[in-house]
Amino acid sequence: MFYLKLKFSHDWDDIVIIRNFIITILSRKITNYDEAYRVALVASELMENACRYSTIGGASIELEQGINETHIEFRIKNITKEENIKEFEKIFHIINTGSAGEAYKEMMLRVINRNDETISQLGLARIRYEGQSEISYEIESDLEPLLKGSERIDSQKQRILCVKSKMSIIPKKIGEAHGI
Amino acid sequence: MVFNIPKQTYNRAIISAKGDTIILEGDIDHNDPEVFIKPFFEKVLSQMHEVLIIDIRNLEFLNSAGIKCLLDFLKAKPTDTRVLIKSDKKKTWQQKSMAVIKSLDEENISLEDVDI
Repeated sequence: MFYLKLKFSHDWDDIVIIRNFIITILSRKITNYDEAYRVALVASELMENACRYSTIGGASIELEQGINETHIEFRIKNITKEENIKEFEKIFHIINTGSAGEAYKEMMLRVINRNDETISQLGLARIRYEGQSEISYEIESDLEPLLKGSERIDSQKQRILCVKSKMSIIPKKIGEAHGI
Repeated sequence: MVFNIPKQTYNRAIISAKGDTIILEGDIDHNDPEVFIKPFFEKVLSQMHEVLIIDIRNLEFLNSAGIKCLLDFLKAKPTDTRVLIKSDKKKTWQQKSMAVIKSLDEENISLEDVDI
């Protein structure tokens, strides 16, 4: 079992560094490439969302492996506007309707049928389908833990969004070489 | 059909053309991969005929923004053209993602998984 917490800025390059760091740590505990990729995908998509939608302050990622070592849970926190949280909740509802594959296809169809050229909004659906993860979230009002130094904002219009992703993994047996 | 498009390298991602095949390699994990993928795919669209092969076997990482680029390309291509996506049998993420992409247009998108 282990617990890891990292704070990061909105610098996109941090995502690659943290993703590789997490994979390096988990390489002692994960059996093969597919398992490692699933974890990397979930970590990366969650951090990408945090970077994209953060309005101020930093973000944090926590990774915890339970005592039985068959599950890991990510928790990602970032400060964002209430309108972004409402949009997140809409997508959360879509991606939790029907099977994970159907929800992913639905989100892909939305990309194809949309005419805006910006974001994909596929991340959560991928986490559920490819990452085989359960997703949940909480909204927090105390922004202080993620604010940097003297940053002050209108807390009436911003909240901390905490997204949790729980996934089962195949733990490596003692003495088994890692295949990553 | 032989594509005449210069190879593009962007950080850890490479996109190139060889014969009738577009090859994606490395890690596509950029904030906005459209910056280098879209201009390349625009050239593909202007040169492609009936069938196009996309080889992702050596693609190690693809974020959702990269998947959006693929979807945008499939949306932009002429409806009567066909796309064959070659993936690596050992990379489950490729099988899973490409299977959903295929389901969007069963008639014109086909998959080939290769054990490399």
